[in-house]
Amino acid sequence: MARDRNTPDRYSTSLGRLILSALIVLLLGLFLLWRIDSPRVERVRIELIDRVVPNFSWATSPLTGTINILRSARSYTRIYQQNKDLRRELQQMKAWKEAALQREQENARLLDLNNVRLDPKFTKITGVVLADSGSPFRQTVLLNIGKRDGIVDGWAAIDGIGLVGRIAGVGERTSRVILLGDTSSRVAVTIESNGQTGLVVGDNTSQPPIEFLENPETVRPGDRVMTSGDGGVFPSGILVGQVTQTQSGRLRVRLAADMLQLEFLRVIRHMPRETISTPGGLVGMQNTTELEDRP
Amino acid sequence: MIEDPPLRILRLRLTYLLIIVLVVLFKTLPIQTSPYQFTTPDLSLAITFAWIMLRPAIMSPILITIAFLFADAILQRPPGLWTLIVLCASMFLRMRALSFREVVFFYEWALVAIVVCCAFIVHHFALILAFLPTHDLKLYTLQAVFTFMIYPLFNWIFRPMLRYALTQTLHKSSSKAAR
Repeated sequence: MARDRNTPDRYSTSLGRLILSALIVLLLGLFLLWRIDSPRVERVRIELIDRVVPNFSWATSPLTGTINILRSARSYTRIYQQNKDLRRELQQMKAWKEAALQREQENARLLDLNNVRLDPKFTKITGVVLADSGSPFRQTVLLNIGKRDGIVDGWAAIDGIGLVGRIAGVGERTSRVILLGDTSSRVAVTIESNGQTGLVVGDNTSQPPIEFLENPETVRPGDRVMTSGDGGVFPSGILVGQVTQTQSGRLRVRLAADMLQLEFLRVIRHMPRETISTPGGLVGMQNTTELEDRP
Repeated sequence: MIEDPPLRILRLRLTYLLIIVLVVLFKTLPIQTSPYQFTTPDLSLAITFAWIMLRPAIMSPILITIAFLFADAILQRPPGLWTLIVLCASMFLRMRALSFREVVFFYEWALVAIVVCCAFIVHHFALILAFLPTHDLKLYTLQAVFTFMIYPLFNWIFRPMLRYALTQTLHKSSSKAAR
């Protein structure tokens, strides 16, 4: 044993020291490269995830299912009470359904009157959540749809009711969604009641704050928050949630999407609006140019 | 140093890689997609340190680099930074692993606790230095504490697996010396 302590292992030899220092330089270089040229390294990362994660989907979905069943097993003990509550809620829902049906008919009539045509490009692709970020400090999920399904960076992901996040990073078979709660998530929104615009800034909480509002005093808790589509990258008019106010008076959004259980996400296929680049010409200008062209 | 047969070294290294990959993939299961109010210990770090204190010879720097670069890539961390810190910490522990073999376990645990805390602090300041968003300090501190609290568990789990061959060969070598 005395001999052991003098020469702990073969990596204390010069070769071992060389390997270790080479590794340290390599890792430091990789980190600096990522810091300077993030998109390139991120592309390598998404390529790797694309290769690895879908191959484990045979294991992940049953595991996730089992864990969710175990988790809900706890609630089976209160099943009688829950049943009563649900029945009461169902009664209320029936009333709401009646109201909604009436509204729908009214809406259809009004649309018909206005001769509105909905944009055919405004369609959705549905994907299954494969994995989440696995860390308490990042809020992202991985979907099983990617480049081959036509996903493009920047498209919006919704869970059927409200906005969930934005596509950031597309692989061949997978794509990553940055959730609204992530610290790097910024979404331009408008408050529906008075048309003010602001940003929903993720801060790793379930209710992200709204910032850069012009008149925060005029915004009331309960106002609906929609995406504004400012900047042209993001589609406008998607429900984000409702305004709430914390005790300190800060305005936050209670998200409409159910972030507790994200299973299926819809990605909205969004084409950027055509931009008008030339100033409008004078009416009748065409004729004069035609005249000038002719000798 | 007690020399292991190369095949066993390879087998142990592959086992280590498999464990880390499973831990990382398990963490990415879409079970909790809402922001965490609570945190779990950094299992891969605790496992790595347990293996290093039990069997320093098989934990080569290349092995640790591969395992943690994979974790960095999958868990959306800045690639290389956490790997670099873990690598340095592990090499520090590795140099001292053999001399801690004969002392009370509590001292070994204290050493690991100090190294874990140092690694987390260095990581935090490195993030600040690189102008990257830092973690929520409360959760982050909790994670460091949980990580070294769970260390004895892994030490206990892996001890039979990693120590067995050692006592056997020790016995052999001592009998050889007696002869």
